[in-house]
Amino acid sequence: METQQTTAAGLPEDVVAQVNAVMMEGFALKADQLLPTAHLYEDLKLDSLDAIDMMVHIEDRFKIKLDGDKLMEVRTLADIYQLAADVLSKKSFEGPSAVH
Amino acid sequence: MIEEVWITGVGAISPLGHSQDAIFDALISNQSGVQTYPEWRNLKGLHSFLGSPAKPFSVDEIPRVKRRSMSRMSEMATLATIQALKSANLTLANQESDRVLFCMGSTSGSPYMLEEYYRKYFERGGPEGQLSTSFFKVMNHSVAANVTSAMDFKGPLLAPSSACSTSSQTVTLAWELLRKGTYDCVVAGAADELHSTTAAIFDTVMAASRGYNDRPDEAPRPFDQHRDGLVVGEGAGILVLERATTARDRGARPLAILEGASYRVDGSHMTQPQPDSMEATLRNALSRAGIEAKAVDYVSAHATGTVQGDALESQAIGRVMGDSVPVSSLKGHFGHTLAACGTLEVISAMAMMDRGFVIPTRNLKNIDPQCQHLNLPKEPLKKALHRVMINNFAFGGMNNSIILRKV
Repeated sequence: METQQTTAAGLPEDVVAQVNAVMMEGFALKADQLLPTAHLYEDLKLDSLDAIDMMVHIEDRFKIKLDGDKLMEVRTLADIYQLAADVLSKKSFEGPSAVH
Repeated sequence: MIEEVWITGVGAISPLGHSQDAIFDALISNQSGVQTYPEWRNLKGLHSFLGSPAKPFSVDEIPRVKRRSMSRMSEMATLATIQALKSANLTLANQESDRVLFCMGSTSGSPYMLEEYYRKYFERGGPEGQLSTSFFKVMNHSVAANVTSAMDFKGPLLAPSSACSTSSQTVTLAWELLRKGTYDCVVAGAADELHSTTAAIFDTVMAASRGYNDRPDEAPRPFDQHRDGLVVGEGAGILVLERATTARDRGARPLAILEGASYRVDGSHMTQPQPDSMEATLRNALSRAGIEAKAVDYVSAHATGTVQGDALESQAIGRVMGDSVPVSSLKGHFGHTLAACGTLEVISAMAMMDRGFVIPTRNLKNIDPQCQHLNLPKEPLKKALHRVMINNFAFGGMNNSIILRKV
């Protein structure tokens, strides 16, 4: 069985890297700004329009569908990593048709 | 009291360069912005594969949050507005003034975004996956709203749209409003971005050049016997216009005087120009400027290089302006920058007045007999220009004429 590399917080490294890539490419953020504790609105200066676009970019990148209600609760970058990792984990368990 | 109207600032992003000086240098050295688009050859039913893109430009000075809702046309308009305000030595950010009007538009919302939006819409069977900012690039006042957002301007805003006469109309409206004292300042102009669908629109009505696809340097050819249509382009041209009294009070200097302007609609046919209506517009502009035709030293014609349009415009110019005043079209250099052409041609004409030169029509080799009654120089003409007329026309029977006086 394939072993997944994880961060200290137990998140898949690939998910973190790809979400970070979305944040840098889509919102002109720099790597050193992308701390897991970074608040999306207060630290990274994103707004409601950015939040919608962030969701679209992440969905397109991972070929997943995020839960809009859960997205409303997201505050930090770590929350985004977790949200994406949870959906990917579910996708891996149930197969692609269950999530998209 | 009727006020004099000054042009105090200019800004341009264009196929010939991104400043008034760069544009004049390109014009006087007979440069062309036209190039081939080989990839358009794959589009079924399209026969014109020429375009005139703006020279490369950087958008780094526009913050991401402002830029995210901009398509290329809004980026160009914003950069041109920054230039224009700088040249007018004017700061409007965060000022809540009812005395300043922003008046700018485009032919339509972004064709690129429209294509992307509907492609994804049909592919996915609905709006899934659309970005939040898509609509802000396709709405009809996209240029106006994005520019004012980028400028942090908080006063009145209008977004006229009349295709290729858009920027000319914003200038004419500015003249009407400023001379009556409705505003002290109007930031006016327009922008459009180049896309294959724009070429297609003109190609469908047989108005785009088809015969020079392998010789981009030779098209378009306004007034020439072998002209076969226009070449679509892109760009942004922005002017700062002010009431003389308040401009003087703030220590501003005029770059040129906007002496008169007029717009009229044919009210008859969507594509067939009406010389009577053009003539009436030109006469009205002269009358509003309080001058006679003989006081005009140069006419900048709209002449895009279409067979019918150039001939009919020549009729109208001949009837009003006679056969001695030099006439040229700058479309041979710029291509047709659509909504932006009027203000880009005003900016060019101002440079001609400053330097005392008439720029001839590029690619005019053999004058069409239908245009032969006009004085159409084929070489640059050294001539003192005290007054110039700039004419622009558009689908829908739109006619516009502007008269400038040298300071």
